Amino acid sequence: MVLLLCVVGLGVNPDIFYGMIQDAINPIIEVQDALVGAIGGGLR
Amino acid sequence: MWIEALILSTLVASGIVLLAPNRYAGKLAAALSLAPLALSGIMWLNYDAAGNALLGGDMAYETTTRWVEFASYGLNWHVGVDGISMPLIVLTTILTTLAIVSAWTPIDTRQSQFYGLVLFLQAGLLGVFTALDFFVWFIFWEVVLVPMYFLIAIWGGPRRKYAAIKFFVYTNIASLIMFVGFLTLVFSMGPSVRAIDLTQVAQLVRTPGVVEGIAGFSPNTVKLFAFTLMFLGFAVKVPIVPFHTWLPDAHVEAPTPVSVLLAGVLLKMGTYALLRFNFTMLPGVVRDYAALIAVFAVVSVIYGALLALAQQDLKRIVAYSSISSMGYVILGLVAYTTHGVGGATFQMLSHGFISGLMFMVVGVIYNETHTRMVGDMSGMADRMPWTVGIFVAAAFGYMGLPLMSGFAGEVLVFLGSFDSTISPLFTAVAMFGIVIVAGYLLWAMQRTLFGPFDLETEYEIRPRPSTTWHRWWCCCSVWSGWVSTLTSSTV
Amino acid sequence: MAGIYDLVPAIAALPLASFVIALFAGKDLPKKGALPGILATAGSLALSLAVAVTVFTTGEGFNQNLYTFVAGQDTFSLHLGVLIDPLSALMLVIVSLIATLVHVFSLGYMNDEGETGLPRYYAGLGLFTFSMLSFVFANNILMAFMFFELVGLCSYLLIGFWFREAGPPSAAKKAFLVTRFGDYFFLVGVVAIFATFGTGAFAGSESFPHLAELALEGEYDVNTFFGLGEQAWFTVLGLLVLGGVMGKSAQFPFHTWLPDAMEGPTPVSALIHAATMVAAGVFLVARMYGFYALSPTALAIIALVGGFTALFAATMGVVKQELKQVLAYSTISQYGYMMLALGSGGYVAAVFHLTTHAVFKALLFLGAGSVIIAMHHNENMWDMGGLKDKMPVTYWTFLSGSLALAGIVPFAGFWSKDEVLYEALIHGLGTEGGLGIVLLAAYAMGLLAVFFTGFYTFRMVYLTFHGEPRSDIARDPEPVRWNVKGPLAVLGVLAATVGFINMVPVKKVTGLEIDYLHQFLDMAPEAYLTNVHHYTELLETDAFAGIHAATPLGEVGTVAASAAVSLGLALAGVLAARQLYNAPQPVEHTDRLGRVKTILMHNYYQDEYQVWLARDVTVPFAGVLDTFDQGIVDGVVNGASSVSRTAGRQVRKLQTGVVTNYAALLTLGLVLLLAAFAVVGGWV
Repeated sequence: MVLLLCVVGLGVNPDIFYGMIQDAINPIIEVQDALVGAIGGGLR
Repeated sequence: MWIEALILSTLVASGIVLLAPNRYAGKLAAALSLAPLALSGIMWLNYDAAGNALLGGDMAYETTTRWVEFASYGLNWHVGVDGISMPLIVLTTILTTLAIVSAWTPIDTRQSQFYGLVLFLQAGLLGVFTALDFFVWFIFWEVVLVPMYFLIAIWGGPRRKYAAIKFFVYTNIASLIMFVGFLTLVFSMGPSVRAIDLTQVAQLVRTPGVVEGIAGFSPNTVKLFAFTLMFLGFAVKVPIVPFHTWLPDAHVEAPTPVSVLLAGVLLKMGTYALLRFNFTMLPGVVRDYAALIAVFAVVSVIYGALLALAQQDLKRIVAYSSISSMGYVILGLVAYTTHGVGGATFQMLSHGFISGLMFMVVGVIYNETHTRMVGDMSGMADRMPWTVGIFVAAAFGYMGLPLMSGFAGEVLVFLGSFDSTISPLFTAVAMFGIVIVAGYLLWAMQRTLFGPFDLETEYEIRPRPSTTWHRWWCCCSVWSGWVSTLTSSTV
Repeated sequence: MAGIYDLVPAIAALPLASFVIALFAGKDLPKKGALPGILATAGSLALSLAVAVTVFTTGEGFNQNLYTFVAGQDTFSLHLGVLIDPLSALMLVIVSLIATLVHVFSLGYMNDEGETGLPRYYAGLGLFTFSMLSFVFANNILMAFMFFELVGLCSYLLIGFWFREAGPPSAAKKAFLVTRFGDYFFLVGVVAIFATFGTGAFAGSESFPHLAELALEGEYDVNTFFGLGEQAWFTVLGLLVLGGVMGKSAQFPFHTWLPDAMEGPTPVSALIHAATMVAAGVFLVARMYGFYALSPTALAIIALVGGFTALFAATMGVVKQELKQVLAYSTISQYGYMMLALGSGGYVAAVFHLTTHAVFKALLFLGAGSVIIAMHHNENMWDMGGLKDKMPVTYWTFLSGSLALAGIVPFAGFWSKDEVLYEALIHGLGTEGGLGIVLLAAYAMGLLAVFFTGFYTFRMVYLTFHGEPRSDIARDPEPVRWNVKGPLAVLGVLAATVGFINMVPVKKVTGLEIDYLHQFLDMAPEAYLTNVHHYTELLETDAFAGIHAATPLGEVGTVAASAAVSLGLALAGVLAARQLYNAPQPVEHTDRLGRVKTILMHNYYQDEYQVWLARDVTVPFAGVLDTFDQGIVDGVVNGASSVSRTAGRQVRKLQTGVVTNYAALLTLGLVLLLAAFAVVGGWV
């Protein structure tokens, strides 16, 4: 039941964790964007 | 000091439980596991960090101490938390406590050892997610294998020895391969690296010209070599097809609470490490071989799902579908977009909760019927309506039903990977997984849960009507969860 | 007048609350959760009516993001929000009206029949209503997808309500799987729309239909994929989303789940067919009509699928033995008409038919439910007969619904079906090239289906209610109570009258401005770009759809001729049924069809090939893969581990459980690590 609560809670409001996740992964993306920039990337 | 407290509290708990008498071990372990749970909760609430741990972001709860001077290298005790590891720590502490509680019924021998090992396992897992020095990280990485091995080998099913050894040897060899890969990378940077601190290595390796050729091979070849070895090593852990065969065996033989941790947290070690090492340190190689990695991801998704379709054992079904779900994570990672990598990280979390839930429900059914075979039972909904209700909810979570976390993870991965450097065709093909997953789960549910009641095994199940109190408790917990999640977002 | 619009989320939240109450407290409540459901849906109905009236009187709408599902950093975000314009306001009223009546009817069908598991039933109904209402006011395509899927879940739960039998769980699984297959394409479409436009909004100048329009005019740059041109890529996007539509709206070849879904309780069938699940597909096309209006190919396919499905399903309805089966095929056929209308540029006609169909199909299903109560759950029409005098309320209301379904003037179905066919005809005649021919072909199929519709509808009426009773139960049917008759009466009156909201032929002949529905739908705020004249503009632009109207006999002449032809065919069908089946002891005349009947009874073997695909192709393939996995992939692993006997012995020694062995193996790695550093570090 507690897990179901977690699943539903995260499903309704993924931003609980998704905000910090994005914050942490965006530096990775930026460097990759710079790498890819030379060959052209799409809309982010 | 928070991280040290977190890890120490689990280690101490583990020691206490190992010495406790069997009768109280379960309750005691659950109580003691509340300490790391509370600590991680406080850490999460007070979480205040920005950026990526390896790339010079502000970390939370960071500590660095020079530990050992070794030749010209230094080994640091370096731990810290960023936005990738924080959710995984919360996942670990929640799942461990729940796994301990769910073990009360099925584990009836050598309890104190069982719970002690589970807590020891938790210490290893928390270490993997927080360590930022390679040496420290690798110790924790290897430490995880030991309790897992014993948990499968002692409390497992009929073929437990085979499964445990296969798990141990397979993943240990993979660790060694990965290890060689990482060392190649470190040594290729020559004297510029004075510590195997992951943050230093990660930032240096991304600076052009730092990696030098070894033995006549060009720097790019060295990078590719290191990337390949590390990828192979982590691919076993994830697991990515074709390195997945230890997983179904381990799951089938492992007792349910161990399956919960195995699928819920251990698999995430693989994807977490892939993200931390391969995808953070060597983005250039990912760019060059993105299509190939995407092929691995898509094959994992579709092949894993098709295999799940052919299984009769409920645990095997969930095990193969885990392979399928982890394929989405790889697809999101290789996409290299915000929603791709972010969705992949979210999918790790979401899959941790959903697969844990799924294994627990299967475990409850097994406790009552002593079978997990689809053909052995039907109409379980008649006898255990609330368990079946949660089973149905978990299954739909697995299928990625909206408003449950699986949907958020999958749809973010799809959104991120469709418009990226890899062809949208990969995404479109991988998405067909959502049809197959519905196929096997609905089929299994129809056979086992619905229809007229019938059970092939000797066990008698009494219909147990739920009490009003029970229903109110469920209602209140779900409702308060929803309200709190909704309000927390508007703040 | 923003006040009432702030309450729009409550329209969906009320049934959600009733879901929670019924699920967790239903057992302790009188009527097992029916009362909260009735109150909640009635509240939704009142609010929906207030919203519709506000839209009608002020001409203002509401389009706002209310909740951020995922906040993107340096990328797009995903929102949940509300879009109220005439189309969604109308649909909210329809859905909440039907849901309320179904709840009341369920008192008679479920509670009075002593069913168990009622809290689960009412919880399902509540969740179903919640999902559909949220789907209707969704302001972007991702939110629409989310609730579209939830609608599928609810149909699964409710079709499989009687889970202790073998049939319903199987039917529920099929319904979810077939629609999921369609939803796969829908989700690819959603993801591709986000990748193309960076937004999924339905309405406004930043919406994806409008951005697509600008892109085609060369005023906006979008990403296209696979090297396709903009027009071609938009067609692909439209067709991908159409996959989901065809799944939910049971269009050929995804129609096979719907007749099986009759395994669910009859009030659920009424809800699914009239207002929720099946309607969701067609509603989605109407919702993003500004996007489809840009692509002649997509429109042609929609029209063709619709026309074909209308005819195809109608022919199968002719031979069915069971009351609900006939209605199931009529539903497929009628949604075919709506698709035909949408494909041929008749946006208003499609929405009109959606409205009237919701009323008369709910009526027919509830009427069938009443008959089924009376017949003690025997659904075979050949065991009925003569029920006319025993249950007059059911008979007269059912007759009203049947006349509407058959399309007999002045009942609701006549006006809407006639408008559908009229739109298809004039646009087929007026449009140049392939699209025109396709529209005419689709029109011809739709027209032919009118005859079959009249025939099977009245075959059903005559067999059920006329003639002599053919079984003991039919001689002494169980009486039904007010909670069955009440909803029937409301719908019976509506089925006779709801067609008056858009009497286009009368308008054309007399010149009176009485096409109220058309005017209402045209009242959508200009800024939303969802009003009728904007769609017409898009359709008539040659760079987009290039659909034009032609009226060779003059406006009045064409509309009169079209109406006369379709009415004539419908009457012919009715009369044929009367000729054959209005006898004291009717016989099965369809036996004379011989082999054709066998094919029709087997639904053109559509189910067979789909089951074959799933059971005899996919599952054995998975089995082969499993063998491959166990034998080859795992075999290599195991083989590698036992290459050398020595290694094997070492492994076996490990099993002895000597702790030091494990520790040794483990520390080996760490020792290696230290050694490597000693070597390298020492040299450096």
